[in-house]
This record gives sequence, structure tokens and C-alpha cells, in this order.
Amino acid sequence: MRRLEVICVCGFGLGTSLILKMQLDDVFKEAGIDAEVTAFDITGAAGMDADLFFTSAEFHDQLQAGTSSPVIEVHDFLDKQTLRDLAVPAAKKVMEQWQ
Amino acid sequence: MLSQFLNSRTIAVRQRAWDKAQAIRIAGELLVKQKLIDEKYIDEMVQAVEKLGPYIVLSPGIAFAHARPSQLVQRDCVSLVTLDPPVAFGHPRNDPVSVLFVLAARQANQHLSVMRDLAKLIIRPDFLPAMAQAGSEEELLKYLRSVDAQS
Repeated sequence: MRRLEVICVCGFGLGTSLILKMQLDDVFKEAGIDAEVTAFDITGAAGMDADLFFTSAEFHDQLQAGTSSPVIEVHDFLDKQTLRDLAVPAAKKVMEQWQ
Repeated sequence: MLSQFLNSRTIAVRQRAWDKAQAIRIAGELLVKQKLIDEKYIDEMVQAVEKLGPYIVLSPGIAFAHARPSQLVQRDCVSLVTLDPPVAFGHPRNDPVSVLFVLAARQANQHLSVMRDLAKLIIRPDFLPAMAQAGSEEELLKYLRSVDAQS
């Protein structure tokens, strides 16, 4: 089975996106989803492709303009329950299309 | 280990700032005084939050200020300031900020180890209450030491 490729994006790729990556690693592991989550800054993420993107509200439109994959907006990086509710259904939807 | 980065010289409690730029400056100056960053790094952090927006407020009450990794940073470092009263950063949902971290990295992608510890710290349910309760730097350090001891 293919691995889900996920990119988290923040301004400089050293702070917030790493926290989001750690949270998403946990969420996908708990849900039994095989995902590779990478943290990038907004400049580095431009032109990159993945199955799913996660970012804060500020970068949503900019990222969505460059990809046909879903870009998910996260408001509270520490709220794992909300993150789970956003990430797991989105991941499952992507994986359904693989079959 | 948090204590590797956060010590009596890189934290300050109950600081008063009239806006986000001053708050970032207060937290940044702790690192300038230790010659860990150049004053210009503070300017870059302030410019970044103006230009890129308040995304650095990543959860209610908690902000991570940083700029691009650069030679303005002598050594990877972190500071932590609690703000009293809390300061509006312009985030639609997560304002106001009562806990501000400054992150500084010399090279890109060098921050992972400390970020992991910081992420573990801020997701603790007792983190924000402990920050609000700490009336002195010593009290705050005592809490951080107890977190280190548990990890």
C-alpha cells in the first residue's frame, strides 16, 4: 500500500510546522494510517506536491493555488482532537481514491 | 532537555508590553544580552510577524516568534517570557498572548531536538496554569525542572 505524503507548512519551517508535524505523526499513528509527514517553510513548500497539506490560515490560499490536493487550515496546533477530526477523514478520502 | 536552553538568563516572568513588537523585543533582548543573537535578529522577527501575520500564535495564549535561520544567531537558543497583562497579537482566535517563546537557529532544520521538547512542554495540560502562577523566574524554572525530570 502506498504511503500517505503529508506536508506541514509555516513561515520559516523551524517552529510551528514542526509542532504540527509531531501532532500529526501521533494522530496518523493512532489511526493506523501510514503517513510520511514533513515540515517545510512556505518558500520551500511552493511547488512541492503531497497528498495533503496542513497550515495556518495565513498560508491556506497561497498553498491551495499551487496544488489540487486538499489544504487543511489549522487554528489551534495543540488541539489534537480537532486535528484528528480534520486529518483522519481527509486522509481516508485521499486513500479511497487509490483503490 | 529544556534546561539546556531555558535558564535564569533566558526567561522572564510577568513582563509588561504594550504591543506584540515590544513583547518580542523583551524576549529577544534576553538573548542579545547573552550574546546569543544579534539585535538585528529581533528586527527580523518583528518584521516577520508584521509581514507574515499572526500565525505564530499557534494555540490560545501561546506564541513562537522567530525569523529565518541566519548568521545573526551565534548559537541555537530559546527564550521564554510570560506577559502580564496578556498582549494582543492580532490572531482572530488565539489572542491574547500570555506566553511568548523566541526561537533562534543558526542553520535551517537545526531546531528539531529543542522543538520536540518545547512541543511536549506546551501540550501539557498544566503548562498554561503553571506559566500564569509563576510569580518569579525561580518558580518558573522549578516547573521546567520538574518537566525535565519527568521526561
